Amino acid sequence: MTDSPRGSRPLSVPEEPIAFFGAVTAATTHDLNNVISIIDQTAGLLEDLVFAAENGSSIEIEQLSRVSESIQRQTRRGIATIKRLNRFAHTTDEPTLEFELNETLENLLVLVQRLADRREVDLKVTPRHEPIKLTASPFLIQHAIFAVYASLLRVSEAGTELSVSVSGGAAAAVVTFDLGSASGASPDLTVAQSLAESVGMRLETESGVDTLTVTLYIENGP
Amino acid sequence: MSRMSVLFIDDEEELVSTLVERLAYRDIEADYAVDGEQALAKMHERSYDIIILDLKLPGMSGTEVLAQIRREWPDLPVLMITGHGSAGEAQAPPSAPKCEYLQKPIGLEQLIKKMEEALVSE
Repeated sequence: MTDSPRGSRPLSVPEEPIAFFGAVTAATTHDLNNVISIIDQTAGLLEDLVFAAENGSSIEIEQLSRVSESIQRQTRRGIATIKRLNRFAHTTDEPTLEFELNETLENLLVLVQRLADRREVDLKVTPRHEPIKLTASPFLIQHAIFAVYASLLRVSEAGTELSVSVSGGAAAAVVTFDLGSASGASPDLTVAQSLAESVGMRLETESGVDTLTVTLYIENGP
Repeated sequence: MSRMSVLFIDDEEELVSTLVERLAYRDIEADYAVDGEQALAKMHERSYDIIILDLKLPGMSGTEVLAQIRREWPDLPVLMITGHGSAGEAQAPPSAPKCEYLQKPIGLEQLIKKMEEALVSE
């Protein structure tokens, strides 16, 4: 089993909801830490330029423009991440909510994309063109989706493509994970299966030549 | 005394390129690599006085890069940088001499101080 590809830390598949929340928050705040670090150092660079100018060096307009663009770019990156994390946190507001599956899935996978990046797995998300409104617990559905995602990453080798697509309609939605060029090892989907069943979802797997497909069927609530 | 030379290994290119530029203003020679493979290639091309290594890297992990550095350059000081908020993940491997962990975000002056301390203790 390629549990820890190329020496990276093993990726756990959280069974408990709080552990899932923690995994998403940890991945996201790591990214925010980088954003803050870049803004901090870029502001420091601006101070260095001013100090150099005070001591007789000239400041190029291009340098100032580059500093300004970097701060703006990282601020936008930070704001986008915070908005996504906030959206994710609000999925715990009520036990059952009406929500749009494409948007919720995309939001979650952007937040945890870093986990795929670290394993050099190419994550592709294809939402359904039409919105899919579900009435269920968006948080628990995301938990099951994340469990499948993490389980597949555990057996993915560098260079693998993982495609996640949404299909189906209002009566039943389908989330499909296609793992190409799998390592040959079978993912342990025990936790994902259990989580899916606990919220009335059905999980099926199908193995092909060097490919693996995991499908989650989500029946719509009342 | 020759200028201190440092290699950053971090996939946040905008961060390390800015640090390299700021260190140049302080007469410190700095370079960066965005993954372990690139870093090891650069280290085979020339020598550095100290390595600043992010724990979380794509491909080879920081811990794996550290192990390789220890095999090839056992006496080279390495500062490990982590974005992890607690010491839990930031555990040094049992046999990681000349290695210290720092948490992001870290100020430049603090980083320089840590680099100087690591070189003095060498």
